[in-house]
This record gives sequence, structure tokens and C-alpha cells, in this order.
Amino acid sequence: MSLVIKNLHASLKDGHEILSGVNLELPSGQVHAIMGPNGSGKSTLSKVLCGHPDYIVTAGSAELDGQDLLSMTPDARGRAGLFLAFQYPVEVPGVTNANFLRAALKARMPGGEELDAVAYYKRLRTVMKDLNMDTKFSSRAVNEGFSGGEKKRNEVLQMLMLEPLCAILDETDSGLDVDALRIVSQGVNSMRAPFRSFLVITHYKRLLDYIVPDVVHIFHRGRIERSGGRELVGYIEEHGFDFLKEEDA
Amino acid sequence: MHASDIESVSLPTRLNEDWRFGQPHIRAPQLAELIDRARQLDMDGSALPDGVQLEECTADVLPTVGSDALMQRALARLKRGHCLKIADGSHLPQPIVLRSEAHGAQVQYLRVVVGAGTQLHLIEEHAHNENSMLVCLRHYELLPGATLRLEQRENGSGCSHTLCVTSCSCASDTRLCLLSTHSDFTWARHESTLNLTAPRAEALLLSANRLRGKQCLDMRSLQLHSSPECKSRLLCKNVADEQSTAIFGGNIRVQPRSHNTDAYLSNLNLLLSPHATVHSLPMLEILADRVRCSHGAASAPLDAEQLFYLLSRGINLADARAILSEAFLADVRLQFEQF
Repeated sequence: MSLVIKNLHASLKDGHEILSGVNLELPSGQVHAIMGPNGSGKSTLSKVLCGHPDYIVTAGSAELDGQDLLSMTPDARGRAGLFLAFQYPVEVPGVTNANFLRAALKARMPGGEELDAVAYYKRLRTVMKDLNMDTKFSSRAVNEGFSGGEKKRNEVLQMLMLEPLCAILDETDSGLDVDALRIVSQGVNSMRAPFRSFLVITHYKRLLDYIVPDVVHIFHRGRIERSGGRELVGYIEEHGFDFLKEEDA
Repeated sequence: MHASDIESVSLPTRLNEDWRFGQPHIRAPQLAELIDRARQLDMDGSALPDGVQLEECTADVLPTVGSDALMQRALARLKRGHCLKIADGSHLPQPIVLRSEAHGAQVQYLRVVVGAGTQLHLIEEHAHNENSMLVCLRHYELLPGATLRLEQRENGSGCSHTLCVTSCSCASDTRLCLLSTHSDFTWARHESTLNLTAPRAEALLLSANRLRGKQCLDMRSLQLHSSPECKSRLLCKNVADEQSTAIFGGNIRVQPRSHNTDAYLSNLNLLLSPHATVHSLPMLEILADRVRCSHGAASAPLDAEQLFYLLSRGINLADARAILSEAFLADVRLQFEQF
């Protein structure tokens, strides 16, 4: 599923502009990485695309396979195939992981159809095993009391279960140890397909060593300042983002 | 308003602050007429296990529960009630279920005596039919060393009203866990009194309720610590939607010389609508030294980040609200199960 963003501007409710004209074309089947200094607006872009109510889109467009994403409600965007692995996944006490995922899967089914509970739990256990997650996590409340790494792994579990067509991973590598990073990356890579696209937001080269991107974008001051191949990752690793400030000057 | 105008404003009273006492919206003559047609509790006491007796008792042996005025009013129409007695040291692996159904108007009286050293799980399911008005008086006595897990499920239907008065008396080394739920009442008032009368008595009072439409639930509780070394906890959670009203007034009273009391009460409300109303009045009256008592109350709408998280996974708004409301109440059930 392709994602096309044109001249996207978005502000907080107090009028403070965070996104200042984002342009991005993510074709189906590709993985694009977004890197950039803290506070440049990367996470805001992911939330705006998912319809977070804290932000107001003031100009521009975003289309998911030609569908106007911005006119859709947040839940409709999810059902249309968009998925966000949150940077800071929220805790939802009282809702077990299993029930939460079942509700999300059921929401994608045509009206009146019921989820096959046996097949669902079988698949859930298999995916958890693949991610090296204890199956006890399925009966624990969503993210409640999870460590940072467990939360991130839980986001990837949801992604694997929901099988989105366009997935945004917002700093999924933060909080993961080396082994967890490898397992999570394997999970993401197993989903790569011609009909699916990924937008990977990260600060670090190490994630992109596992999830190799087709294109790398550098985000700065609320928009994409530069795009290129994998060589950009190495350049940033070596020089940091200071060159952006020099260009500003 | 100017300072000079303050004198012209009357002080709040029960007459002009009806939230202090929820209004059933039934005129007094109607209520009296309904109670005059009161019928007795219809309770299935068949096939009770060994050591368990369910018998009728006359009004003259009924202990007083609730206010004197309420008792006088109820007893004027109530000649007999039911008494469930569990013999000392009974072992009851299965819960006992008592069911009743209210038609029209009824006054019910139930007394439960849990024998010394007995462990009992009692489930009461009370169905209230359309246009019913039920007055329930319930008294529970836990003899030394007894444990009672009690579920009171009050299920209304359309235009039904209820007034429940629950009184629990706990002797030494007793353990009580009470879970009350109310659903689909036009108006429900529940007064509960817990009296910890001897050392090392412990009680956990739980309530979880959903309100919608113009329903009103008026909960009152008194945790009375009459003896030292006792512990009580109360957690009342309400989900208020549409134009409903939830009222909670809870008091912990620690009597003189009830040292080393450990008590807490908490009222938490989830507001699903800007037109829903909650009133919370937690109170403490401490007349002893060396106690640990506190209370808390919080009322809030759904957490916006949690809601967005569910929406982002494709769950529609109505289902997301329902899931989060259920989750809000879930720990009440969990605490009961873990007791």
C-alpha cells in the first residue's frame, strides 16, 4: 500500500506549527527510514497520519493507496491498513492483550462474522513464540507494568497479528537490547511484501542494519530536508546532524 | 456577586441540594400505595446443603438496619422475613445462590448468620421488573472466624426503583468481602453499614455500577470501627453515561479506643458524557489514636491517549468506549476474585 504526503502542515491546538510542508512518496513494497534530530517533528508526523486529536492539519494532503487519509476517522485509518507502532505505547489497565487484539481483529471483519477463537489463540501463541515473548503476556493488561523493551515488543506483536498494509514504526528500537532488536527486526522483515510498505523512524543505524531501507529521509524543522540511499545513514552516524545547523546558517 | 449580596443567599440544605439525597421522582402517596401492596420475598431455598437452613422469621426478631425512620416504615408493612443460617464450622465448596424477583412493590427482609469458622460464598441475584419498587433490608452476621464472600447483583428493568439497606456485623477474626452491582434502575439508593465489632475483623467492600439515560444511583456507606486491630477497605466505581447521576457518600468512623485501625475508602467515577453528573462525599471521623485512615475520590472522562490507542488499532469509537469502561470496572471484580 502506498503512502503519498504532499505539503503537509500541522499545528498544535494553540497554533504552534510542528509540520511545515512534509512531502513524501512511499511506494508499496518499500521501506523508508526517517532520521532526524530530537524535536524535529518525526513523531508528530506519525501521529498526524494516524489522526491524533492533539494536532490540526492546516494544509496539504496524505493519501493511502489513493484514499484521502486525512478525511478518515482514526479507527477507519486503522481498518484501512495503517498501523503505528508507538514510541511510547500507552498502558491500558483492565484490558488483556488477548482481548485487545481480538477486538482489533474483529473490527476488521465484515459485520456479523465472528472470529474463530481457537484459530486466533493458536496464531497468537505462534507469533508470541516467534517474538520470544512469554505467552503469559497474552493475559496481562495491555502494556501495564511492561518494561520499555516489552512494550516495544508488544507493539510488534500487534503489528504481526493485525497485518497492516502500511506500518509506521516510531523509534521501535529504543529500549530494546541487542537480542530483542534482532528478534523484532526479524519479525518486521518477515512481513516485508510487495503489497506492504514501512516507514521506520529511528535515531540509530543499528536498526537499519537489520531492517534495510530503500530510501532514507532526514527530517528537520518539520519537513524532509534531504533524501537519499543507505549511505545517508552512515554519514549521519559519522557526522551527526550538525551539518543541518550549518546549512541553516 | 457582591459581598453585600451574600447574606441574601440562603445556606444549602437538604431541600435545595437534592444531590445529597438522590430523588426517586416518585410522589410520596404513590410510594405508600406501592408499599401497601407489598409481597413477601420469593426465595428458592430448596436443595440447600448440610448445615444450611433457610427459614422464615417474624418481624419482632429482626435486628434494626438502616435508620429508625426507614425501619419503622418498612416494618409497618413487613411482618416476616427470611433467615439463612449456616452452622458453625460448615464447609461449603459451592456458592449458595439466592434469587428473588420483584413485581410491583415489595419489602424484603433477609438475615444471614454465618457460623463460627465457616467459609461461605453467597450470591444474591435480585431481578426488579418494570415499574417495581423494592425495599430490601439485609443483615449479615459473621460469627468469630467466619469468612463471607457476598455478591449482591441488583438488576433493574426499565422504570424500576429500589432502596437497599445492608448491614454487616463482623465478630473477631472474620473476613468479609462484599461486591454489589446495580444496573438498569431508574433510581437506586443503597445504604450499607459495616460494623467491625471485635479485634482482627477485616472487610473489603466493593461496588461497580454502570449508569445511563437518566438513571440515578445513590450509594451511602459507613465503615464503623468499633474495636481495635480491624481493617476495612471500600472501593466504589461508577461509569456514568448520558444524563445519569451517581452519588456516593462514604464515611469511616473510628470509635474511641479502636486503636490500630486500618481503613480506606475510595470512590472513582468515569464520566462518559458531558451531561452525566457525579457527587462524591468521602468522610472520616476519627475518635481514636494510633489509626491509619484515609480516603480518596476521583472523577474523570476517558483517558484521551488510551482512547486514541484503541482507535488507532481500528476499533470503532463505540466499542473503544465500551472496552475502556469495562476495563475501568474490571479491577473491582478482580479484587473480589482474589479475596
